[in-house]
Amino acid sequence: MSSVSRIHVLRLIGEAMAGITQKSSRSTLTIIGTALGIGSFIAVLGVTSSANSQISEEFAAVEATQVTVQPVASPGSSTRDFPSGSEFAVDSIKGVRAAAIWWDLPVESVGAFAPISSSDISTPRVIAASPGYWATVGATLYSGRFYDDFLADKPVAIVGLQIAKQLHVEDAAEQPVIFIDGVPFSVIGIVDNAANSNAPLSAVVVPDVFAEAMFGDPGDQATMTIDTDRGASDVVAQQVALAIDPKHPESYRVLKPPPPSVVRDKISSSTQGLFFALAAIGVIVGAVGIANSSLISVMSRIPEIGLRRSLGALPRHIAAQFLIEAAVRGVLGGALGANVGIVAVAVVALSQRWTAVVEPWSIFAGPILGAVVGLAAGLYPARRASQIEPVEAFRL
Amino acid sequence: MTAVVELRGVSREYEDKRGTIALRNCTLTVNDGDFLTVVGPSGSGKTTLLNIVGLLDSPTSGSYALRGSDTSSMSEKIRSRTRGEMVGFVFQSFQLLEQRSCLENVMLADLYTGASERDSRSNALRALESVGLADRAGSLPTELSGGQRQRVAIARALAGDPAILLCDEPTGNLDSRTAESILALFLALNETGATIMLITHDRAVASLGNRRVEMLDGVLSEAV
Repeated sequence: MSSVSRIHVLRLIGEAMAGITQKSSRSTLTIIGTALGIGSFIAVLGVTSSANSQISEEFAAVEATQVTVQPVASPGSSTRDFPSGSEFAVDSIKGVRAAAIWWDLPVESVGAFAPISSSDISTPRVIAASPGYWATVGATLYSGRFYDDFLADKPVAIVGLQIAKQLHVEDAAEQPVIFIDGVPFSVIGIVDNAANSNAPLSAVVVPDVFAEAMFGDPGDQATMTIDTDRGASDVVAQQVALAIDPKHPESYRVLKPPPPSVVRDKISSSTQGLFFALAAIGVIVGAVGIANSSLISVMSRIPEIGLRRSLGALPRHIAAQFLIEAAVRGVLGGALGANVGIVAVAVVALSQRWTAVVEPWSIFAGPILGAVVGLAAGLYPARRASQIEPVEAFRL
Repeated sequence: MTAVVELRGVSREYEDKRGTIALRNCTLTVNDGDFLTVVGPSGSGKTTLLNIVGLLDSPTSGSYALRGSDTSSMSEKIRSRTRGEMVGFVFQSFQLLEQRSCLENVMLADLYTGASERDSRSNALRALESVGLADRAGSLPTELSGGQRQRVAIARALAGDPAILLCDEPTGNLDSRTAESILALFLALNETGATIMLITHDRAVASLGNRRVEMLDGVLSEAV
């Protein structure tokens, strides 16, 4: 160190610390502002990690367990494209929990009264489905019962809760009658939830055998949905076409949902981008707070700057002191912010019943980020302070 | 007798719209042990003269040597160091940091000269003792009277063992009784060898020095 810039670093740091405590209320507010900025950054990171962890768990819970099979349209064919006994053949594949064939019916009206000239309500979707449909979609009943093989050729219907209200069907136990294209159907069940599909909640579902007799063969409009054990969908998808028609497996298109990791990663990536942007705004707000406070501090301490210059301080000594003050405010704000952020993550995770995930590095990131923010925000005020000439300082 | 300050034909012109000339061809020598007072009305150039002698400002023409060193050739760094080591300032408004103790205020004197904290503390205590305030070292300036605050400021100016004390209206903010005690302190310090240059607009105060110069419109004239 040259003789002209001699100053004990520890004494300079001591002066900076004294500068912070000198205006303790202003410093406290600045530190709180920085803490909120850094804290929101840490909290957003933590909440994002916790949410992603939760998303992973939830994706794992609904991991690709649904396989869909559709017949490839064959021109001129007038027969139902799933051979009889297809569901039983598919059921026998290891890993299959349930399988069902279903299709949409070309219905013109659905109403609670007959005769009708028009639908009582805007015509809901009407689905014909085999008895296995309910297990496949994971439906639960609000009232009544599901139909089974015994009722498959009877004019019965299961309606979604929303449709039931529109049709004024309150209790399936009394088996009220609704009319589909003028044909009476007894409502034997009302569905209020379906884990794997929203379709039955807003539709009227009738048995496949009766529907086929009333509306004719679905042709290539039928779809088979298969619910598999977790992790078995790949194997089932490979075997299903062969099980349905060993001679012509190419007549069926087998669809399975994308791996959950792809969807999860897409969601994680988009949520992280959004959260990082929000966190960055928080940090910028903290930086502006430090810059503002430092600048006000410079302006209010012009006589002190003049005094220090008269005592031999170089401009860079003045700049260093204000920079250290800003950095220390940043470090203190960052340390406080890290704690605030971690507590916020814990509170959010607790309230959402998630597992709180806090990256270990984020504990140290707070003070370091605070120091960087403090230094960056303190640069301009420090430069302004160093440019104040002692003569001007005493003249003010 | 050794010259501490030697001004030769010093002028200071400001680059404002009116082209104000604060000092005109001033020549002045201050020797070791002098108690020089500069008296003049407001705006006569007293403070500009003090700023130049204290290396806070530079003349636009003429030469200025401090302890024989030509100041015109000094870099900003050397000027700062020289100012810190050879000049002690005493201001009318004391310029004390109110949140810092008297001792800490006095210790600022050699902060920028590389003194260790221990040496600085020892120098500061000695300086406070010389102004009769050793027992108030731990007090805050706000706990002191005006006269005591000025004594702390004088102690700060003395702590670095400067070649010259530059005092800018040091009694301007004090009542007459307190002012007398401060002036008495300056006289006592001068008797122990301190070189003092004091500017004032008060002729009574100016008469206390062993030398007196008068300023009017930037022109310096030595009173007989």
